[in-house]
Amino acid sequence: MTVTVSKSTIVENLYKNFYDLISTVSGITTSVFPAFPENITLTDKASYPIVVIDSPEIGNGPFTFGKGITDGTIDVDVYTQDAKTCDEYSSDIIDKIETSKGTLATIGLKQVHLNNTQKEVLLQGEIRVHHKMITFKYKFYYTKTATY
Amino acid sequence: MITIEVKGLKEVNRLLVRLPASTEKEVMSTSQSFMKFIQKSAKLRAPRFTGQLAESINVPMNRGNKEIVIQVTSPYAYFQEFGFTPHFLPAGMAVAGGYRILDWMQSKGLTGSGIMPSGQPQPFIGPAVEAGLNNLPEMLNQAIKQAIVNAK
Repeated sequence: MTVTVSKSTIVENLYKNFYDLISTVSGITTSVFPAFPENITLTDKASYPIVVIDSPEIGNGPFTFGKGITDGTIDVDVYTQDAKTCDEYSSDIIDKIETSKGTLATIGLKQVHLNNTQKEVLLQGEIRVHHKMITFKYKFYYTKTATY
Repeated sequence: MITIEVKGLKEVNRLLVRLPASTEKEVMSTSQSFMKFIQKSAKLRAPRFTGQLAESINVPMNRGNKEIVIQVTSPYAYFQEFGFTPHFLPAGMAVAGGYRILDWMQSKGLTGSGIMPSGQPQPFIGPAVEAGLNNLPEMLNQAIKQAIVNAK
């Protein structure tokens, strides 16, 4: 369920829309967190997969005399035990956002697109953790507050 | 008489005027994304007991400077990364966060009056940077392409 993004709610509602979309992806519905969970054991296979959606980064700039533009990024991190599931979940997340672009545009988020992905493999105890960071970009146009 | 007309000069000129600023914006955005990845990777690789070392890894907000830095403010980060001279640490010795060496020993099931760590480096920043550098060329390539598109 999407929520309309406005100038006064851009951070929380942008986040909520991404969270609601990504948490419907099959296989990770109960594994999506707003920050890396501290109460899990990284060396326990049962802890994975973990999906973390960071708070969005925003930047402002002029668009027209009366309108401003906020463009920024939002990062989604996927942590799994093996490369195949990491790639599968990443593909599903990217596809979910891609196919929801029209819906996001109707609530104020324009030009939502995949910006880049970054991947690494590291050891936690005796298990290999596959980490992929997916960065999405967006634009949000708003009416500037007139000052005299 | 031959007349030569060149079309598109206005658009080329506009592109050349806009390209430097567009490139700078896209490269800085990509650099910020790269450093955030390094930060997350380093946090995951950092040795954990209290979690303070991982928490101390930050990427301060870029306030218009041309460089982006990653900070590790924990006082023992340097020694974890590069190692230290082995020396005896008594169990009652206090460490950051209100803990003692004894707390760490108990978490590892160790007994005794203290520990003598080997001092071997346990790098976490270096491996995170190495892992991230694999992705950087392609990211910059995409950033330049996007900058050209934005400048048109």
